[in-house]
Amino acid sequence: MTRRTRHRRHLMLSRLLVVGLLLALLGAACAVEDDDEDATGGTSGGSSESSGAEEPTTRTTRGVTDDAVKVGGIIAAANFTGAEVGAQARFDRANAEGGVNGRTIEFVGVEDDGNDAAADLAAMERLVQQEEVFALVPNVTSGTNADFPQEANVPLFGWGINPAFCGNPVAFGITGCVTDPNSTRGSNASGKVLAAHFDGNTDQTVAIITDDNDSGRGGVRLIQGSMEDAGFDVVYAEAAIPPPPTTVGDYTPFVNDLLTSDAGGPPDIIILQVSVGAVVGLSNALQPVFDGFVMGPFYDPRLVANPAFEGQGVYTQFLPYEYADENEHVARMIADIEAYDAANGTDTVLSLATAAGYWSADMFLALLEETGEDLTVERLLAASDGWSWEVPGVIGTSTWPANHDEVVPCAALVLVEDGAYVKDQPLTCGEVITLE
Amino acid sequence: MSQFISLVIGGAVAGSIYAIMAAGLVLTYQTSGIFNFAHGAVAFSAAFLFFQLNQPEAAGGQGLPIAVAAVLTILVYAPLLGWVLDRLMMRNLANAPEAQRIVGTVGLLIALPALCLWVVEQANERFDRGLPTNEQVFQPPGLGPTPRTTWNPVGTVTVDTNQLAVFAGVLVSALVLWVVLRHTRVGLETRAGVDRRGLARLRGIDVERMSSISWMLSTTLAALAGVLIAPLFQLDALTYTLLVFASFGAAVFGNLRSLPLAFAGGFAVGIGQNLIQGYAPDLLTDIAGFRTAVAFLLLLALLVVKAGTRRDRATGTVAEERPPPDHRAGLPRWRRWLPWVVAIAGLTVYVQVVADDFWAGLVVRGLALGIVFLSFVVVTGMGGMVSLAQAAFVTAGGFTAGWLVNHQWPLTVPVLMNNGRMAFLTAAVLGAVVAAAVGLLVALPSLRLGGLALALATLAIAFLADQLVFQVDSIRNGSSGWSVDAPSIGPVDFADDRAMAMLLLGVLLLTTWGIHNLQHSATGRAMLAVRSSEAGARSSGISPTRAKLALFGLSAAVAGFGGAFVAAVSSPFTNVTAPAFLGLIWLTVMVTFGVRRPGGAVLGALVFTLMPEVLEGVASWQGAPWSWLPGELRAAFDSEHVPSILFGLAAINLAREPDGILALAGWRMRERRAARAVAPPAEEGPAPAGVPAGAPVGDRTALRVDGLRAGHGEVEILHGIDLRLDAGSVLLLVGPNGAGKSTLADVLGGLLEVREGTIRLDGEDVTGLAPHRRARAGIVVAPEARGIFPGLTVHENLEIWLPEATDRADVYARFAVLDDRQHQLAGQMSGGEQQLLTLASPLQRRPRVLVADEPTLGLAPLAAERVHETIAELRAAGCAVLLVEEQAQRALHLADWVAVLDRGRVVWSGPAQETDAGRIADHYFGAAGT
Repeated sequence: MTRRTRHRRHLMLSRLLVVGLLLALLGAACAVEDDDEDATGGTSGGSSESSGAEEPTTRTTRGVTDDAVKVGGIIAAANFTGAEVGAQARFDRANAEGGVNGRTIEFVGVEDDGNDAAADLAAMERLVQQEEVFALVPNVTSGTNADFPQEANVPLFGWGINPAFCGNPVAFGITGCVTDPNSTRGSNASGKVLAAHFDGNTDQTVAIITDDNDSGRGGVRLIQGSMEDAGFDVVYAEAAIPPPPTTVGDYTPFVNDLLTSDAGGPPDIIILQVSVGAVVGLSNALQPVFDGFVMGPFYDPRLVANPAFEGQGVYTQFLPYEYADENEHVARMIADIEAYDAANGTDTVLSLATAAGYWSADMFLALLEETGEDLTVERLLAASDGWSWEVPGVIGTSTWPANHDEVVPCAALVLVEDGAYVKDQPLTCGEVITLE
Repeated sequence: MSQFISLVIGGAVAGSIYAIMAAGLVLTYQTSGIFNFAHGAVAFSAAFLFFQLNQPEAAGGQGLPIAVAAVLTILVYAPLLGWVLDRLMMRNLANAPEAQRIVGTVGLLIALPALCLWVVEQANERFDRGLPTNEQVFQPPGLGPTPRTTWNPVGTVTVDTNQLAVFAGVLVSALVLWVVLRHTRVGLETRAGVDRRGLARLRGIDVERMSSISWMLSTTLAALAGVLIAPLFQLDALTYTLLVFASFGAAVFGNLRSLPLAFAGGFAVGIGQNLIQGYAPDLLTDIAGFRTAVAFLLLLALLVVKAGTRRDRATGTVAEERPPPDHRAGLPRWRRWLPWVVAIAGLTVYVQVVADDFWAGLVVRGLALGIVFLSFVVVTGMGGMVSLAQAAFVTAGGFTAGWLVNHQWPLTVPVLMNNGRMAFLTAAVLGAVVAAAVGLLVALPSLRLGGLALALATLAIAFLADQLVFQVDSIRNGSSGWSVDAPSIGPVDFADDRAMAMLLLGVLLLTTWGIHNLQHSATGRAMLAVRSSEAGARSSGISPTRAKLALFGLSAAVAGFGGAFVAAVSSPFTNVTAPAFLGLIWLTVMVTFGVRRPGGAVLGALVFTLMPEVLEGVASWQGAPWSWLPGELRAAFDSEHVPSILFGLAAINLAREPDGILALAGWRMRERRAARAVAPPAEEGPAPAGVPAGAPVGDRTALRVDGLRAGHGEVEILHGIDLRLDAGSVLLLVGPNGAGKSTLADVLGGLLEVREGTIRLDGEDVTGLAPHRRARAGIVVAPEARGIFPGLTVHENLEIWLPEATDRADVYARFAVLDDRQHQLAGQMSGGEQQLLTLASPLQRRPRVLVADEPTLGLAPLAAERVHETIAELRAAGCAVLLVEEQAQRALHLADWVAVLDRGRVVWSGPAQETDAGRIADHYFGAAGT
């Protein structure tokens, strides 16, 4: 018995008990229970009366009307502010084309959770219980609450960079479950794409540095696995950098460690998998003393004006904007965002977050189409069984339910040249690797 | 070697940041007794303003050159902010108990950055100004040139222009501080005020102006540091605040007292951190979080070491406080409980009948947080200890419960367990037990610190727990945390918010009842005794340590118990559900709503949880009572920053109200009740009986005191004193211990407020004059036990009252011994020399009235004679002298008039010629009538 059905069966009974208790307490007999809604909003039909029936007769139609479906998203504005515009631009085009199955998308915008799980839960409740959205699109934050969407039966579509997208049957990440909470499963794509950058010459030493916490510890092993899988010689792999909000006043100890990691000398390649502040700090500190190749984790046009980033490589999980001239999907994304900017007088930064919002919306639309005209949460989830989705050349194929548990093992690579990103390696896919 | 040099140089760069921050902290802590947790917030606000001014116009900024923006920020905005803060906030806080002082600045820490961000957000959203936001830059500009230049001086060290600018900024500010404090009048007065605040006021120093100046200096330092370090970090308020937390160690290194040591401490902490990072054995660096925790490990170690070397420390809790009077006193029991009954009934009806799922869910989370807040009632409300580690106990409780309910046990126990799974309530109780154990572990090293040091130690421990313990995957269940299902008991499933609300109300009532009983238990009474007087409690056989340990442990247990419920109502419980920093915010909310009352805890938690949603509702609901407000105004409330601003401002305002919002409301109701009741006839105090002391009123009267009443707290000590003192005469005031002699000296000096009566100087009413004004007007008080500043040199001591060099030259000419010791610290001289120094100043620049409180106490006969000679000289020069002595004999020959003070009244007075020692002795022992 799932938690959900048990919950529903007890709901009525416990409420009656509580109300009875209350009436006795107050000695009044005129209180009337407001019972026209329950936890899932506009659910009709029920399982408590008909428990025993095998087929899911519950029909959650929250936010669905004959001609529209309401959605809203949650982002961490500090890091992913572009995701809202990205999603809006994609929905605008879908609506301009007449919607999906006769329904337009009513996008109520995004809430900001500041990467904070408590704020995220409040935001989810606001969107689901007050706005009554059908699904949470886009979801681009590292603070997603994992339990509420399952309890309240709310599908979420976003960038699976937090563990709420892992092992969660209602969560759909555009690149699957990226952050395995046990840090044992990841992709070998980063090693593959780096090997391609060096034209297969993997006879090089690699130093990897990540954040000083258990996530960083898991991350360092996964990157090491990926690099060794591709044939590189990993000479240093440490989760050493104090993560935010702790500040690092001086990076000398870490630079010292990195630059002496290859038998007392510097390695050929340094991979930084750290927070944005540390990427800036380490890049500043490394630039005058390190001649090798640096791989950074963040694709953000605002970073690269800093000359310390010159020559760095950045791998991304999906094809970045620089490939617009050779990939029609990226070109159309840029056109959609430009159309949004033109209509709203804005000047949206083409960041990875903007793309993540755009592709989250695109994925949701695809599954909406797949579900068909009769739209309920239950039917959407049923339709996802065996479904697969990709954006050719941009985002690798995810198949469901498999990607509720694992990442889509693809990556692309861009370089920083003259203060801007330039193309290097197109989307390259590998395999999921598991470490014990 | 090269590595070592690299680490030291790099560490010095980071250390210079800590140094400049620590200097600002020490400066204001010394002058106002307030440890400014908001120092980083001030730095952030300045950096943010600088960013706004300096960003090019194309990016939405004002496009001002670096120099102009820097002057506006550092030399205009920052001093102004310091002045405003001192006026509106710090002065009121200076005399509050430790918890309130901490909470006041934490309120500022929350409100100030939120205010900055909100202003920009509103300017952009309402007025479309397109101002730049801090999210748009990864490397904000600083005072160094952009783009920066980078060098590689040695080894792997890289130094860039921004870092050099920080270094230069520290050198400049150290130099400026040194010049200001050592070579200006303001600096001298500041150091005098730090040395002996009361005496400084008696010597004509305006300590309030001094407080303003030190706050202005401190905010200027913060602004300079803020602008300098902006390019090294991100422009983020929390980053700035944590940077300042990391520099707490440097301030502690300087004993929170010495600026040079604080500067040195900054460098020591920066270099120490680097050396630990560089040379720590793998055994340590392999521990996840060790590298992150270095800063707080250093702080904790410094606190413990420093506490061990300080002699003047009482192992006290916070400042001695009296429990505030209970506004419910005299109410029948049912009236005391009435608010609870009404509140519970109202909340029940609301949750069951009115609220929809959304609001019911919020109320449930507020109630769960209420249990957590009750833990503050135990530790801070009852125990007077400021614990900033409550969030760690909540996490300990939440994780324990989460692990227990998710663990499959091989056996099952009916009721307590369910098919091999621990029942939630069992797990919650065990969570409380684990949290209590953790609490005791935290308390053992910290409790002997007490006061601010305890607060800092618990802060360090909370962060250490976050960084070292709660990061471990097996404890936190990976980054996804522990999912905790709400319990079901029999047929009632508490996953339903409406049922859960009832359960939580029951738990809250039980916990409150427990706390109520605790207050009246042996432990509660022992704690009350410890807070009133630790020494007294100890001599009555009460162990302060045991009482404090018990309360700390209990409070941790309540927090852990609350943590389990927090886990159940906002599952999953992760390591970021209750981060250390949240503990600071909780304490702030709690103190705002009244840290002594369980009602304050529940109300505070509910408001804390509900307010952001209510504010959002103000903006979005139509048809509500506030719909008449302009939409633009309502929309301004719909910002994540508004709750922070409101909570912060409330904390700043209410911090000095020791009982919080609830008590404020309570007092108002009591006043209303009192007004309704028939006013009882005013009770006549004892008539100011007694003998007017001193010479009959004549033309030469220098000092005249009429019907003077004064006292400490609720105790009146002087019950109507009348005094006359002629110019050029000495009035000898004698009386036994406790007669009120020193109180009278304090009142005359202005240190103690007059409740009734007047003080006139040459016919002019000076009753309401502040001490420094009174000193300037001509009343100088030489307080008991030497009127010198022991931490200043002889020369500086003289300089306070004798700013003219010629005056000082005359003093040196007269007293060779002072001339010899010009540059010696006054505190290192003998008692006689110190008393000489005390009287030398008024001898040179004669006041109209000198009040000398037992000037010969503890002096050798020869030295005492010297003092009396000085007083005789003052009299001859026309100065009126009030000489206070316990023993009349020795000074009788000096006096023109003698008065005997006993139990706050002048019981006898007469001309000195008619007085003999035996007669006075009779009055001493009460043998003679008045």
